[in-house]
Amino acid sequence: MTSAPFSSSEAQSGAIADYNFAYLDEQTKRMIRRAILKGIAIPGYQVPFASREMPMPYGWGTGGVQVTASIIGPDDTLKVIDQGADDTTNAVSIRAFFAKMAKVKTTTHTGEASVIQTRHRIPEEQLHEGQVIVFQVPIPEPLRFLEPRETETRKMHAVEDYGLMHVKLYEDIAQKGHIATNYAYPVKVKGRYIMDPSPTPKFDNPKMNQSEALQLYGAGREMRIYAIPPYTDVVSLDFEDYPFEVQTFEEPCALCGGTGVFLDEVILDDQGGRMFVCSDSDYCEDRRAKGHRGALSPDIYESEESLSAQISQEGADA
Amino acid sequence: MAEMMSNNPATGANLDAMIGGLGDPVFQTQRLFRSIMDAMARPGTIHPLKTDAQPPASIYPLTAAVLATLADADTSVWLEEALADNSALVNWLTFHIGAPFAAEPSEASFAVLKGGKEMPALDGFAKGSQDYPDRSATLIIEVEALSDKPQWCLSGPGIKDQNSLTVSVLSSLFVSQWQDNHALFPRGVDIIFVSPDAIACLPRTTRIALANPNASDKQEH
Ligand SMILES: [Zn+2]
Repeated sequence: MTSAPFSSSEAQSGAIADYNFAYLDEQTKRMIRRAILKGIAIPGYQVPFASREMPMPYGWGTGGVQVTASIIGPDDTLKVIDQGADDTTNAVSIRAFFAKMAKVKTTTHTGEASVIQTRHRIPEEQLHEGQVIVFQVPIPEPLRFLEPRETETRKMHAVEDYGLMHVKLYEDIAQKGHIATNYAYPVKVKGRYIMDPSPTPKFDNPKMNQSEALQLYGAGREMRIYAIPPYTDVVSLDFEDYPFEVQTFEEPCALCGGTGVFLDEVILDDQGGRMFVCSDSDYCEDRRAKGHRGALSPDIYESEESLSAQISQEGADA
Repeated sequence: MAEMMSNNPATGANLDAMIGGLGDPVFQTQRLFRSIMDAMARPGTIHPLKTDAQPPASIYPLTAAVLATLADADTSVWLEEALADNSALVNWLTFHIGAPFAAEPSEASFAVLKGGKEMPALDGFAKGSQDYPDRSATLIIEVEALSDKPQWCLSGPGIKDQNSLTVSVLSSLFVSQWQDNHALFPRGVDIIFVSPDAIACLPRTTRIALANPNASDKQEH
């Protein structure tokens, strides 16, 4: 296979003519496609696959990129988000990669996308039937931090022995009075497999349950693919006396006034000024386009341009 | 079958085997795969599909196209007896797909079989292990027709409330075999039904309930 990574300058100079559609060779795509089908048939189970080198380092979503490359076609419209934003370096690079390598249309609008590749968020706008959301996963094994040995975690999944996970969550409660896990909060899929939802905030966990969209998860370094079909029960682990709760925010979004959405803190100046704005930049822009305003939106705050520049700076650093 | 496989498919004797492959395979298999993925993610939904594959007449072009989309030298394929005895088909598959043929159904990643009364039992195919339930067979089953008439009511992951599906024709034992397969979860086989012009899937998670018998009586006429 053509596994030699190329630099972005090569890509720009047109050297991609030598590469296959969507970069991966056909044999690799078939292997990944087979893993995806088994993942769908066994919701929440991590299917091993032979991860390929991609022209980007691990940590840049090589697992998600390989999944997207194996499913995407000329009729697709792709959206890429990183922590909710379409304009971070990571999101822009991956979007440009597929625009070039697969000639797909791209969009920032959640509703227009047929495939959404994401790092660490699920869009606020409800996904609909026919959409596919591809998650970039760094550590797919939810039991890994409790048990480092793969042979052991595999056995635990095989016999559905999840006692350790419950002990860990309960220790949180004993020490802190609540379950302290806010990201990568473990879920149980279809009443069977405990699954890591990737480092999304637990705020997004309820969106995974009975989602209309197909959810695919790719971990490049760890070489695992897993999936949740649409309309599948996904339950966040909890206890009767300590039920699962999502993060809540006291103020609405400072730009669009949105509530019930996940907010990021943005530092405004070095005097300790700060505001909270939608993590989902498309959602926020859409609301502002429709006339919604927050406490610090441009009518009130002087310049929208300087503000959004500041926000995207924050996003890129995250 | 071993004899056929040892023939060099590039020699004149097997010239017929060399024609009739998928045109524009990169894009055609992408399109086919997306339909298969969608069909597996939403069990029982019927996905019309076209292909220009021209395998020997013993299988549907669409069956060949589905197999070409998923199978290759890394996956073994089992053909039911009547198909395995067809040297033209074996040569075609060898040339265009290059998958090794499995001698036993239990050894195959993919199996190609005809639906109908004589269909082999599901129990004979690889169901994966408790540790690796993905190491299980995907059965590509040719049937005469697929429709959304309510012979079966399907439920489970991928299905909002219920999907109805009629698969014509299957062994009368199929539904009870499927219940056994479903009960093995996370182990089990998965099925891609192929009619001449469409596919529908049953992953192991899908429950089949027989719809009211009057409904299926009606469609017999
Ligand atoms: Zn907002």
